[in-house]
Amino acid sequence: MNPLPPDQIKGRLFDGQTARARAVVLDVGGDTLLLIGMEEMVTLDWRRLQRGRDGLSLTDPARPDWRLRLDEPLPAPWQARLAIEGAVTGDDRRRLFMAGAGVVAVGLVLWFGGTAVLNAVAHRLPRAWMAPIGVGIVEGLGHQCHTPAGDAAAAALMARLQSANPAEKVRLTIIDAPVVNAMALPGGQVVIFDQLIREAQSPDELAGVLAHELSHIKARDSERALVRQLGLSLLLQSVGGNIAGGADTLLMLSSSREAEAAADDGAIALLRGARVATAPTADFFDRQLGKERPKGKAPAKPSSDLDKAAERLSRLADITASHPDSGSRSRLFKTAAAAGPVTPALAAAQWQALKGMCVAGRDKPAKVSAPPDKR
Amino acid sequence: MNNEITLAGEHRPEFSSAWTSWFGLVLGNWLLTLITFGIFRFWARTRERRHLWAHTFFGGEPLEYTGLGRELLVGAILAFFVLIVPLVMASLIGAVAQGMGLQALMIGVNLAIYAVILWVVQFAIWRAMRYRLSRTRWSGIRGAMDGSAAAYALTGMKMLGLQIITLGFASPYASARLFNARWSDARFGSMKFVAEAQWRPLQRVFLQSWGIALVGLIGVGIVEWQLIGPYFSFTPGAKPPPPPEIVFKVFGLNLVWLTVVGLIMLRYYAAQWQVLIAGLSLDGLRFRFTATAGDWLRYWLGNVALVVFTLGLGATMLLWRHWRFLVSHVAAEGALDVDRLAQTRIDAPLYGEGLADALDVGAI
Repeated sequence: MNPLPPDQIKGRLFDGQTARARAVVLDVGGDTLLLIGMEEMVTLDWRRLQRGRDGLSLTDPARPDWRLRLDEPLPAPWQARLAIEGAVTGDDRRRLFMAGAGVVAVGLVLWFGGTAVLNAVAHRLPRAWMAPIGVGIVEGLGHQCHTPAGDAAAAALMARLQSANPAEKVRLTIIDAPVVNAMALPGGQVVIFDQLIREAQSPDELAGVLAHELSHIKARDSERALVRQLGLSLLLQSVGGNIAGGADTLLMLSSSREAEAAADDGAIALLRGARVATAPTADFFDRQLGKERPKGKAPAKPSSDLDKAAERLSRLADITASHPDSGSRSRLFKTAAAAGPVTPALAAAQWQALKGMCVAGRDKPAKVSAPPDKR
Repeated sequence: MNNEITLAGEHRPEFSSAWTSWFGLVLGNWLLTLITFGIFRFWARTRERRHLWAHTFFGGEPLEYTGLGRELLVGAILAFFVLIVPLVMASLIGAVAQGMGLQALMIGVNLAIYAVILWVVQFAIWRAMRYRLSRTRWSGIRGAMDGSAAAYALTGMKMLGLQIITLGFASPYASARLFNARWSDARFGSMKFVAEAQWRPLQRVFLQSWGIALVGLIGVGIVEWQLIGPYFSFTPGAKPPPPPEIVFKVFGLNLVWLTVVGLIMLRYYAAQWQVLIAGLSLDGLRFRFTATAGDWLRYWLGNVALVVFTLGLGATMLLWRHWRFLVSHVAAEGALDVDRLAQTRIDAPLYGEGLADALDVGAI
């Protein structure tokens, strides 16, 4: 082997036609790059060539499969002269800037106008479509309690809170589950879990919870959450992955806090209109804050997107959710001055009927093989 | 000189990446992904692949990854419109049907959704393989896939049905059949991969492993039912919740049994990859995969230790370790005629593996 002159570098040339590597020598001594092969000598048009970052390869954008691999890096002057393969060019920078501006613009629109857009859509969704979705979710929550007296009492409470001719039909369902919670679902469906009724110490407390949920229904909060989860959130997650999903969740939580505050205001207005005391609702919140929230034996694990949406709805409508402003929330109900004399939301007999609604249905099947309750 | 690949003998790929360079790359990607609300993840993945490919040498020549981040972005947006939107619409129809009391329609819609997802998973695996092969270059020659993703997905559905009917006992047959189906579609340049993996050599070790696992499953199922049965009801709240000591027992039992099954199936898992890859050849090269059950176990335990002892930071190294594990256990016997290995004439797909990404079956 003859040692090569200092201006020559050994390399392998791949022409992109076959996988055969041809032994070549690259002469870097002159003002041009000279490729010396076995049989021929070619002057390379170096202005259109690109080098690898390590200076060990040369590629040609016009012939994407052609490459020259060198045994030693190109000398520094040539490295400086050649464009780097895959490097960010001025064009790329402009495109990157445009893309970044686009992302920021979309983000700003969503941040400031997102709620307005979602609201507009939520209020225009046909009731005929939303009601079955709500009913479907309610069906999936668990056993629905019914007794003649209990149903009558629930109807009486609804009638008390709503005006004589309610603008929209709302259906109240009591679900037999050990969860202290209530939720407003799409299509005018309100769900109250039995445990909440049992922990309420007066019909006024329950009336406060129900009034809160009725305000959610009126504001179409659950419809908005549904549209958000099934449209916007999925698109964001598709493109931005988990991080965009997380950002979306943060946005969702902030908008849900606003919705909660609005629903509290609405609830106070409803209670006042119905001449029901507001202070008991504050007591209920205080008691729920005081104890650990029951480690949710959630009725169903979220698996499908619809279930996730339902979970988000329930989080949105979660009456016991510990928001940062929960103290002020109780204060709000406590200080709301009554607009006049108040009367209990339900008569004592009606209240007992409502409280016993699920127990009445549960007695028969559960007694058969229930092990002793250790609590 | 890549001509060493033309000489008969054993050829092993080499992986030359230092973990520090990978770690820096991943941290940078992570930061950029964070400040772009996740959009950068397509470019991040592209950069990771470019790094892995470029540090992998076969016959002395490096692989090159030529994919672009924007191709993956376009793929993801397309997947949203052709997969996610229709699925959401269908699940809404299902929910409306349930609310309207149309049980049959609801069940029909939900079954259709499951069937479509299972079909699309197979479709997406084939498409992702095509995208990656088409963006892989070695010695100036590109890979490709010839054939149909739909046909492959149909085979995948058939194999799934077979596995359900046979309670999983057709697993060796199904995995060999699918491996052969997708690798027979694979090309490198003008050359076709030949995939003739046999399932019979796997049958004995599978029967032993799955048989023991199944007997264990039934036993564990019976014991757990005795523990939890008295507290079980389809109506939430109808019966008191089981006391903590029983929940604890069931949890512990599941943990033990999952570990045992994992160890039993490991033997089959290792044998499966050895047998499948042994059926693969390209021109005069016959491939082998040399990882034993012990190698896999050490690899997985290493992963767990790495993640646990670094409080999760080590998770950034998992893809690198995965790639290194695969590369260091692949071998090829024989020789490749580089003069006959010409450029492919199959057109490359324009955009990336959005479906596989959406369904999380992308792997790398």
